[in-house]
Amino acid sequence: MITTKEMAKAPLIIGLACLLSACVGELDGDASSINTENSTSSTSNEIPPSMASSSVSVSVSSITTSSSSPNSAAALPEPLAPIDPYPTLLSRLSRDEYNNTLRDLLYPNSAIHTHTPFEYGYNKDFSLGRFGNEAKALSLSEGHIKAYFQAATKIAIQAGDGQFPSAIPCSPSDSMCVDTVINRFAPRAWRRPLTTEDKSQLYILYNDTLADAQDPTVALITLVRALLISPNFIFRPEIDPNLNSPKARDLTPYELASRLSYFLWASMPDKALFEAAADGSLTDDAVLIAQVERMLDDKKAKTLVTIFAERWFDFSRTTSTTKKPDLFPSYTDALAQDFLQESYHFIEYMLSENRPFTDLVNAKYTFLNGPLAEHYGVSGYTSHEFQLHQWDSNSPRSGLLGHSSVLTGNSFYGTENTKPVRRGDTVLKYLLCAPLPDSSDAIGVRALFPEIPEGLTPRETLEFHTDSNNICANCHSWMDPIGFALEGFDPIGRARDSYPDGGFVETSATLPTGESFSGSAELGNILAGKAELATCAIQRTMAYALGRDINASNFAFNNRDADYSALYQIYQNTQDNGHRVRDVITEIVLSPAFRQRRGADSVNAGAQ
Amino acid sequence: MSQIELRRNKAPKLNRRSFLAGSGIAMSLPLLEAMLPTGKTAFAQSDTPSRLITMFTGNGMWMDSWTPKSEGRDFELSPSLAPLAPVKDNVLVLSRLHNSVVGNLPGGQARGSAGFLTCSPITPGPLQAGISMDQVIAQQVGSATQFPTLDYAIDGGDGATLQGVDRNCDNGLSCAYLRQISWSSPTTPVPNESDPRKAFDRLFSQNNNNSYLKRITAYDKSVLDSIRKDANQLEKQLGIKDKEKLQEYLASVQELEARLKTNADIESEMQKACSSFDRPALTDSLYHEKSRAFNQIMVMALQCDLSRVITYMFSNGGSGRTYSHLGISTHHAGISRFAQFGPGAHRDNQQKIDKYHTEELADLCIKLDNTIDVTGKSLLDSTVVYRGSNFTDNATQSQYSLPVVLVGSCNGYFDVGQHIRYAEPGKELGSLYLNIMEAMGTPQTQFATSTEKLPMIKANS
Repeated sequence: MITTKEMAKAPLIIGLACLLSACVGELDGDASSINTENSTSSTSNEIPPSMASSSVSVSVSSITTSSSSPNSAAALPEPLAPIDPYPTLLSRLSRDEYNNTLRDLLYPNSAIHTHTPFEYGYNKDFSLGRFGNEAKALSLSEGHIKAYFQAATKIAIQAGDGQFPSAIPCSPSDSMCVDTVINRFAPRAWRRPLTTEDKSQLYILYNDTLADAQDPTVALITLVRALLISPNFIFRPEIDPNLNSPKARDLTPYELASRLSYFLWASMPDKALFEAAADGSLTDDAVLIAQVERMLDDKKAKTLVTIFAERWFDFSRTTSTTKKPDLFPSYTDALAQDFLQESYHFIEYMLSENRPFTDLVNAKYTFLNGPLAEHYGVSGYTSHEFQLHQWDSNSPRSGLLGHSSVLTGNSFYGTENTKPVRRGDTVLKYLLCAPLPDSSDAIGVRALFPEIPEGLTPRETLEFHTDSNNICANCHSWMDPIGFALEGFDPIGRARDSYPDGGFVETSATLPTGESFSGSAELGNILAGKAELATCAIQRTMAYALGRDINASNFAFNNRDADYSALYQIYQNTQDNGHRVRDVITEIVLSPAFRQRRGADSVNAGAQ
Repeated sequence: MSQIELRRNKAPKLNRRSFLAGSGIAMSLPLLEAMLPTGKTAFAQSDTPSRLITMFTGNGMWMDSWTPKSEGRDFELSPSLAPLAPVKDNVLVLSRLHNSVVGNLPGGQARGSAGFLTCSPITPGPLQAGISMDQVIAQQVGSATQFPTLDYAIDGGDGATLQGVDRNCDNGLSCAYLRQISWSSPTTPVPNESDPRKAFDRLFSQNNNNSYLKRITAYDKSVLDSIRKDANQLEKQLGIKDKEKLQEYLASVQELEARLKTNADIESEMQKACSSFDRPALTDSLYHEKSRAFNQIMVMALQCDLSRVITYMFSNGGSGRTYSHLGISTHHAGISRFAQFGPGAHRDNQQKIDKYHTEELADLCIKLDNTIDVTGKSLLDSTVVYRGSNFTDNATQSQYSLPVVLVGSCNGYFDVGQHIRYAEPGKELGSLYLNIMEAMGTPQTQFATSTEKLPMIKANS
């Protein structure tokens, strides 16, 4: 066995041949899949670990280890390729982005909270993909166009009624107002300066309508409608001067401004950002960094919590989780909302205070309000407002591992049992980006599932998984110990040391990499020392920033292509301070992967 | 489309004396797509929408002359159902249906009325029943039309007091239970309109608060041409993969344009149809005149697709109406109570009233059958008219073997033209409601305590 000390020196590629979903599927039918690199091999459990990483037919992962201090996290393998910015696919505004953009377009100078949410987007626009902003998942149907058409018509009529004085500061019945709309409103709507051709076409539309209707308001409404249904509004085009150029090009300042604002705000650029684009200064590193800081301080950056983090950790699973009321009378919809708010406040704090990503697993602080404090057995909180709370150093709660949101969403309905495998699976997938296979592949699973003897306790049954003689061990040797550590929390996240039947809760376990721990706090410290925690966070943030999958499989750094090179650089540049959230965001923005693209036809965009 | 004759209705028009020519009455324009919230459509394009009218009368029936003696497709209409003969092929009589959960005494009038569409029991105290079947449907399809539901009653709030105390109409149970059959939540009965003139105004005098909408719609094509140019310009500058996305966009714009054109055609047709209606001018408040006016209004509302879900209380629960135009001077609740005790004037009068109710139902159904909608089908084809009462009769106030008849197949869902008598121990009314909800395109797995639909009543099953 390899000692921990040896492991700390360098990342160890331990082949974790998660051969099949097999064992997961039997115990946990509904864990969601985030990776489709399923193996079809039935013999890979025989592949020695050292071979696994080079086998193409096996879904491989490895976990590097290091000491528990984030500052000394393991060095990653050197990249093999230069950073290569892809031409991202043409992206359509997601429903959130569409609504936010309309809000900021029509009320440019207002505090966003003074307006009720815009609900103009296609109500069936359930953006698929991991974060809802993946270009390849954002398709478009007649339903979308119809919704855009209706929204544009409604808004244009309101504009004709003079209802957006800060966006269109002129009287619609004034025939000169068209100049204001074309010169000031249209460039903001399309997020770029208009070409001469654009302008002349818009003037033709206006003038033809005016000639026919003899009413400047009708002509102006028609113009605004056309602006808001245009592909220049609905899409976020990035135009390559040379479609076939294999050479990376810098984004134009306006393209960069849009990428930045849709990343940090899920909305259009504001005045300051447009100005930095207009004078070209945005492409300077210092200006870019300052803009990122400014934008992260803006309330609009909360979309990084409510959209990005929400989807990353699938928090909605908590609020939609039901529990048998007679077993958990205190678990109400209101309490579930408080669970969600705890996690939102926590991540918002990490963002505003620039905390390291390791806080996700070992922070000793959280946010409580009265009902949640009562749920956790903490006294001194009565208000419904959330306040920062410091856990005792010996508290079992550590980062998200101690949040009821995460713990509740991963437990069974209708029994008093927790779901350790699913909890472990969630931690591995969401926090470490482990490419676990899809557990819903039940057919492939059953065929290879070993016989489990009768009469075992639940934990003995699970331990059967990790028996090195059967294939289940590949995944379960990781999932199960993590799940065991979280057994100290009941199905709705309350700390416990015994089961309802009186049995003692055993939270000690050992990871395949050799670290032993007892309870979630110790587990959190061990996970905090793993390089994968940071690379996973970087990878997820990059995926959201770029609206596409990141082609850098965590763990198996054998796939060291261009995305890996970018990830590596961001990892290195943020390592000294333990990969703090804002640092990572800033480094992503500075990375060529974000600031550049290549000609759209220079590579097969389908590779993304 | 423009050649479609929208009304082949040569059936009795309302007497000119009773309908004003109605100068200056705003006609109803189906809402333009753009005025409606996202996802709403002024008219379904591909399928004829399904429609439901629920017609209720209080006091039950004299069941012996109401229930057909024979079953199956060759059944003979009973004396009380005889007026349905012209639409017999569209009639589905269901016997041995119970509303068991409702219970009867004390206060069976109120219990039966409140439970009629909710299948829920009530108790004295704060209003509490259940959401009604029509509202479950409306909550899903209601947004497609200008009015999610229309709720009419001939008697309304003042007609039904058994004991004269407003909050206590029946053994300590609130009058609300007797005067409204539709419940939008377990605690909220839906108020109804009892004046046909006001009902008409609400349907056809909607003030268009957006004068610009109609004018700018004329430039829809200009707008679409403009964005097509934008797309074509953009497409030239994009790579192969991205071009596909623009193609998707252009194809969707194309579809939208076709739809707008169809809508414009339909609108102009509906405009013609819906503008020729006259406002009812009632000479007095006699139920009979109101009945015919409401029948006409319900047909117009469906024809112009202003709503697809209607409840109609021909009389309230526990109605004390005297049917004077039938030559009856005793009140209905008393007649219904004593009709059960033996032959005589009360039973004769009950049978007259039952038959008269069916005549009014038949008038409605024949009007629906004689009216075609814009898709060229008879309105009755796409509609189901559900007719029932709050119990069997006012002597037993029983919820067992209730009088139930449906007219219209609801776009072919119901296997009409037969009388089904379910085997003992019978079936539950809630099960029928699961069928009606499915027929309306809003299937549910459970309604009140019912989880299984009725057998035998679906066509082609």
